[in-house]
Amino acid sequence: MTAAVSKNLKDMTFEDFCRTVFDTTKRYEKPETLKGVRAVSTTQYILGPSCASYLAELGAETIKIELPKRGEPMRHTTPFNEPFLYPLSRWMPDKGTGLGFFGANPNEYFMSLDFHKPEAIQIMKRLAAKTDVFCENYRAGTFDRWGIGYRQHVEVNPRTIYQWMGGFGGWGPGRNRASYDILGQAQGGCFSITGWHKEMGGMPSKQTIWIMDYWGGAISAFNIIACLYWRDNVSGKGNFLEYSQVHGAQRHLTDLISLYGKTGIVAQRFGNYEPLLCVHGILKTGKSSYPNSKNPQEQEVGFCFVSAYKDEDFATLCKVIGKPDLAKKYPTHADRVGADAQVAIYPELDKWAADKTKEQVWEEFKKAGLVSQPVWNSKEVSAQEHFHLRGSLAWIDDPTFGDVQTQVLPCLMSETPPRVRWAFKPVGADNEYILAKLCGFSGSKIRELEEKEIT
Amino acid sequence: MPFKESSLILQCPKCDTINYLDPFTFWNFAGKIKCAGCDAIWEYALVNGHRQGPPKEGKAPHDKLPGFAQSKDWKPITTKGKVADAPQAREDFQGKPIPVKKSIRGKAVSGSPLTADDLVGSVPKMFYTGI
Repeated sequence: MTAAVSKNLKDMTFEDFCRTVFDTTKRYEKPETLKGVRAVSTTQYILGPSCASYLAELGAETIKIELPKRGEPMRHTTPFNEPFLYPLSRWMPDKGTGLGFFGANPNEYFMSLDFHKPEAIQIMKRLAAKTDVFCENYRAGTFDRWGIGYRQHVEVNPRTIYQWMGGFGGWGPGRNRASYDILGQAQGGCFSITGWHKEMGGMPSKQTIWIMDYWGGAISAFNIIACLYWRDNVSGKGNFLEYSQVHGAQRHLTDLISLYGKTGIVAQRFGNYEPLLCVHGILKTGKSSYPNSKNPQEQEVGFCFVSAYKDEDFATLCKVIGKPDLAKKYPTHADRVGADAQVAIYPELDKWAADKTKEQVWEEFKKAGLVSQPVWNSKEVSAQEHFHLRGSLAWIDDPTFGDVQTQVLPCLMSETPPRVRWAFKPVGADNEYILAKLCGFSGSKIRELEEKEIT
Repeated sequence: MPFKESSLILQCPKCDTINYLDPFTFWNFAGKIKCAGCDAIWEYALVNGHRQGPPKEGKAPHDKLPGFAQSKDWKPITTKGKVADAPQAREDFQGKPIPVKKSIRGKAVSGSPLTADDLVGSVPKMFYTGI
């Protein structure tokens, strides 16, 4: 930043300063935080791929390796089997990649390799010599058995940071169990505290998105970056990292573990109310914002979050809904945070909102100065200028698939902003580039590998 | 009758057909259900998935059909008109790949099956820039 620009920044309001230094229209001109770091990802579904994708969005050269022609299983998942982007690969152009793959594969280079063939293992070792980070989420011990696990990697490259991600880890009583995000939510206890109490209908609820996978990917990427720092500034050595999905989910029980340890109390589900604060939850309105929509979920009534847990805010809320007697009955937070009080208070909010849309409810709360937010769906989120201006949502001209809306890492950096260059690529799209550049193979050698179905 | 006291299973008091009441439709319900076995009409009510008393015989027309049913010897009953169609995500739900050529902004997108002739390497010809 030049001295003239710096002086100008000092004179700005804080809002203008932020708008200037975080200007997302300039992100492609700025340096990348992890430029020069090379990662190889042999990951599937979301847990592993999301880790690699966070590194890729920060500028790491990330190479994703999949099985030849059909790629990894996540390419074959898409909401209700309807939307796909084509081609899946140049060998199967009539098949597409499902939108499930969108969750976690931007900016990566795509190579295909059949690990069951000895030549593929040799190629992996060539790549290991030239990469900083290796991510995999096969069953614990699989890559060790194939000769490309951490113990073999470190012989080729002692500076390797090897990240394994999976369900239960490489050791312990559960090590042979398979795992998925939902299993993690169930085992870690998150399922038990999300959803409705018995008196409100009783069903536990999972998160629709694979939140434990994304959380796990983020934690793993964070750990990799920490290990890069340790390697490059302290020790010169690599590291072997193990992330277990179920431990990550268990971490989400937060204070409820301490609650059990101290008092023996087992936390219960409490729906859209909040055990720690009242009022701080989601009320149901009575009118749909899109009554003529063909989409059943848009036809349904709306929901709105409101926070009024401070005594003065609660009094304001009671005035808004025409129930000042509630404020007299529950004047302090201690009076209203208990389950009985909450079960009495929230239905009064629902009753007041019964003839309103979520937008009308929001307007009333805003006028009264209360913190609130209507529950938005994906269409409403996509329409928000705030997300587009600040860069967490972006339309990109993808070089393979055309006009696509995607998400960018939701963090702004003044000097090294994250960015998405492409959503993803077909299976094996970069075989020639990687095999020539990193392995030194000639064109005829690359063709031979393809004919033998090694790539 | 093993499901006599169940909430979301209505075992017909007349013919013992096991009528499964899917939570999507019946979680909060008060109305008449037609048995998939013998077409008997039953008045029934549930609140938050809990029955509000045993079924009472009622008169046609029914309000809802069960989502699935089995005879008392566990044979599925799937005849159209006896059980309800599955709830759909959207009115125009297809459940199979939907070809798309333009995004919601009206710009080109590669959302339809291709042939090898449509590609340069792995890139659709319409987007290939030579780079």
